[in-house]
Amino acid sequence: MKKTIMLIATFGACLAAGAQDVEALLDKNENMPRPPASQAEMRMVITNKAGQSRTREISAWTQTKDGEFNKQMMTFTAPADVRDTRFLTVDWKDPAKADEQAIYIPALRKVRTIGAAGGDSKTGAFLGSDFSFADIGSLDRKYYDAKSAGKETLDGVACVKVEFTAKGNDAIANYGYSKVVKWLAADNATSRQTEFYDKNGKLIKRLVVSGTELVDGKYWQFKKMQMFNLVSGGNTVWEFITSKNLPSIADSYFTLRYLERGR
Amino acid sequence: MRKRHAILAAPLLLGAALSAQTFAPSGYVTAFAYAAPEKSLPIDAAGLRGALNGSGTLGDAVSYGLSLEAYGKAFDMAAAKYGGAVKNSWYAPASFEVTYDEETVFACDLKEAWVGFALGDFDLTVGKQLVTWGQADGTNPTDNINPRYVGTRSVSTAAERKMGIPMVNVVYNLPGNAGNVQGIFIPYSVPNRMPYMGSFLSTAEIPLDVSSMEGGVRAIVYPGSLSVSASYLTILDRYPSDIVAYTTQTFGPVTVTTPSALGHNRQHVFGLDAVWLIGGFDLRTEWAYTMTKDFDGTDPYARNPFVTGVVQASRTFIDGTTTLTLSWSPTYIFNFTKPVVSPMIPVNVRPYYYRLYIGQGYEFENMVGLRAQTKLLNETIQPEAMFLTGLSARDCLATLSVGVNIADGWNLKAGANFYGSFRDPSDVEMKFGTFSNDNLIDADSIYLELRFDF
Repeated sequence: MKKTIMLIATFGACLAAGAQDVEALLDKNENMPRPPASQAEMRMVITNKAGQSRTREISAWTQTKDGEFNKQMMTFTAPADVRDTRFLTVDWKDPAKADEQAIYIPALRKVRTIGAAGGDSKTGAFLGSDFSFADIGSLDRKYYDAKSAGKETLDGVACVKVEFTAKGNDAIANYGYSKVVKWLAADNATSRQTEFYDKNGKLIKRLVVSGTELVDGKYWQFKKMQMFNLVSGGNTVWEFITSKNLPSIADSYFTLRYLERGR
Repeated sequence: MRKRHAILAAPLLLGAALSAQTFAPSGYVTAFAYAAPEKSLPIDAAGLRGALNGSGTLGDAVSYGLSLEAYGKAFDMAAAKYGGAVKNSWYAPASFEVTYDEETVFACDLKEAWVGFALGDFDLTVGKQLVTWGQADGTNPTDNINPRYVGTRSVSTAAERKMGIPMVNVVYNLPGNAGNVQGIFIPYSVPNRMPYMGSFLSTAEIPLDVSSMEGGVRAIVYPGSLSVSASYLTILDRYPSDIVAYTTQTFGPVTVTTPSALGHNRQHVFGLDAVWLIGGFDLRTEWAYTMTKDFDGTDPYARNPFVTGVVQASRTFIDGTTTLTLSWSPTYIFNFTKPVVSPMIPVNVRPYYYRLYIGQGYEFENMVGLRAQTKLLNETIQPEAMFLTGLSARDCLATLSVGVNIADGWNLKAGANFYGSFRDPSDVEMKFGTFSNDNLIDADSIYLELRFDF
């Protein structure tokens, strides 16, 4: 099984850590229950250093098949100048299969696949937000070594720090990060905070997750996350307005056909 | 023309009948002002353009879309060159235009009116619509389905130059996100909307019969980080490309026969394009071989067969905020005969003759370009600069623009286009250059647009 650390790929799915041992902790995280499908309405508020804000509203669907894949389709519904922009992410668990990202740009009426460090680089900003395309997918552990970085209390919650260090330049080219540090709550194993370091080892972004709760008695999900860009001084709040776990969802939501046509 | 409106009405009425299920309105308004430094007026064009759009669904299987586009430009009656007459016409199905002094001053166009059906793995779309082919950026030799407004409207985006046309569009979606196969049928040809070419020449109306039917197929597949498509399209040349009528005039003892009406030749376009994401580069290429009526190149008043392509390599820097793109776009003309600039060409045909050879003035033309784009302040400011030059024509185009997202739905765009030639101004070959021809060489422009989307 490909070991991945999901950043956002499933709504509110959070990393879990049940042991001090990092490998055991991460193995448990990667197998934590996720709903087979979900639907959500989300709001993204992008604020620049001057305090000017722009708001994006998003409808999204996910599909998870344990041990096989996580899929996500997002459709921007507002404002009007980005309406009908759609974004598909497929994270395959099989290490032999490359993860897929594609975006539909309505002004061009074209589907574009997102590649590593190409014209539509994964390290580029996701529709002007402080999240990169790579942040929307997952951090593949085959590119990163993980180790414990001690313990720390965040907002009164005891956390275990896990440090992911890039194994080589490919990882940095793909994700834009030489190091990622995550704070995992010791009691319920949810992710509380993540820090991202650029290729020179400089801290550039901090992700803070809040509103974590247990849903349907088995799924840890959060309400809100906020990415602070420590270089530009801006930040992006991404919050769930509504979300609903579903027993199943049609495969057709996660196709290039849906991406292009919206149906 | 009445028959053509009737054909269009069927999907419209069906779409309206279905609108009770869901309906999502949208649209935009753009205020624009264009200045032409080399013309006498400080403001060459100013006005408003916009669109009202609506789309909806009936269950999962049926959908529909409507788009009504309008364009209005202020005009100066004192600057009339061609008599200053106001004329109106239905220049394409459900597309109405008012001209003053042979320039478009108002137009209202039902750009899209279609009904879509999802039938298993098939998508069927019927009605007036837009179809985009080709995976290259900006330059798309295979994207010839929809005609365009060529020099008749002041717009800053290629998408706004496209005209919707009636067609039947069928897509078969391959399983597993592998790609799709598309077939289109266009019941009759709609040409590009062109500027006035002079009182001597008219354009023959395209007949509503089998001879003007068009169609094509395209297959696109996505194997891994590669994306490849192949296409075939048979159309009538969107530009006038044949002389279909002559007039005979007698001047004393001399009788002169000269062309008086232009038509559109049949073309067969074979396309191939690919995108490959590798080694940190985004590589795009797109090629088209166009077979024309004058296959042996013996008719000086008809377009020769040609192959044209583009190769683009992009690389992103500075955390994805800045992209540099290098491009090479060659064009090779088969059975080439060098066009001539000669007094032997009747004076009334010269504008057409020169226009015909724009892009066909050289057997082998190589266009090279460099584009730089960047995104600042969370993509609220997006400057872009591009330089293109034709190595045989020795001409060039430089563009600069900056887009500013003022607020949600509000965007400001300012830009400039400069056309140039490295030839001496007296060199008649300037007329055959893509950027140095008579239509463009003095058409430098600076523009400002404010767009509101709702």
